[in-house]
Amino acid sequence: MTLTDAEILRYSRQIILPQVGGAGQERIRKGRVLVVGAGGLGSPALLYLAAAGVGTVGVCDHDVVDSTNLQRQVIHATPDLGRAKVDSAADAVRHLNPGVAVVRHPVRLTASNAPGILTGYDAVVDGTDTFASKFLVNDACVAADVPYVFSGILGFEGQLLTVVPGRGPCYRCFFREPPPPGSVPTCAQAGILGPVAGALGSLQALEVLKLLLGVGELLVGRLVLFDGLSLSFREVGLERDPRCPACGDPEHRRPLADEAAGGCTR
Amino acid sequence: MSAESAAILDITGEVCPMTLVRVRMALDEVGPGGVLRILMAAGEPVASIPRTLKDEGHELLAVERRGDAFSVTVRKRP
Repeated sequence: MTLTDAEILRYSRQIILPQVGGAGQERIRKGRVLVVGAGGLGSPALLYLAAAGVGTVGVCDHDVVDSTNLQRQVIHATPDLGRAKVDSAADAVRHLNPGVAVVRHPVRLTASNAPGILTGYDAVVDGTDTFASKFLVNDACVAADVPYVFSGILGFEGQLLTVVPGRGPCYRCFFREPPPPGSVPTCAQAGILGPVAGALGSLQALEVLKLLLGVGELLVGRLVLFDGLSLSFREVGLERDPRCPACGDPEHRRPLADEAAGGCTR
Repeated sequence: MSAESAAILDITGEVCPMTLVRVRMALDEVGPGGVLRILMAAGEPVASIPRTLKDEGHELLAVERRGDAFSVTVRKRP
């Protein structure tokens, strides 16, 4: 289906880009993207993906909106306190762009439900806040052959990596196992400044749009380290580990399983 | 393909940035190496659009005045 005049006008500032054009906008509209975690990272990711006209946006979160969320989770607002985050996020997305179909997954992602939830999505944003969830998102996306954009944030710092199964390393290739519980402070202990989440979540949305458009160079095999205090980006090159339990050669792979709950990473 | 059989796009009724948006979308429709003739108003459109197309590697075949407007013929880059 070709774009309507209203769509052409609405998305004109990105259609005008040579890397997008009408054909690119149609690819964005055909896109189906799942955001796991409607929190500090998921908020800007969801809003920018919806604003860009991604046709179907999924939200997976089992939590309710709490007053301590609002300092950084900008998709939720004060009247949403106590509501399920998937409901609050879905309303915000529809309010921003009624042309986007929102799919709500009001559950905690687990090894048993992940394959079903991931079915049909073209890309995933990891907006989770625990190591256990981050490893699960990684393993489930690799097993389902779905590209995803990782981010983890704490304090003034953040990390970013795009994982395209079969085309580079995954998160487990270098962070082999979650750290022992208690060895890394949770975000409740260490704190987080809202714009750090905003910056990294926005970059996740940018990577997803590049994925859908097939343009540019994805952050595959390059872990970006962001330091908000010095406002600097550093890059670490990474290679796929053939012995990786998630994406390695068949004899090294382990079946999808839940990790023990550990500390949170944002 | 000769300029005479080019696809034609009239953006004389559009204002920036929809002028370039319409050009972008029309260029999506013509294949690589295809020719598009664009009717555009004098002033800002004819001052900026041909330059943008050239900067992006398309070939400007002709810029001709047509009364109050201009006809810009461009060959899409291969």
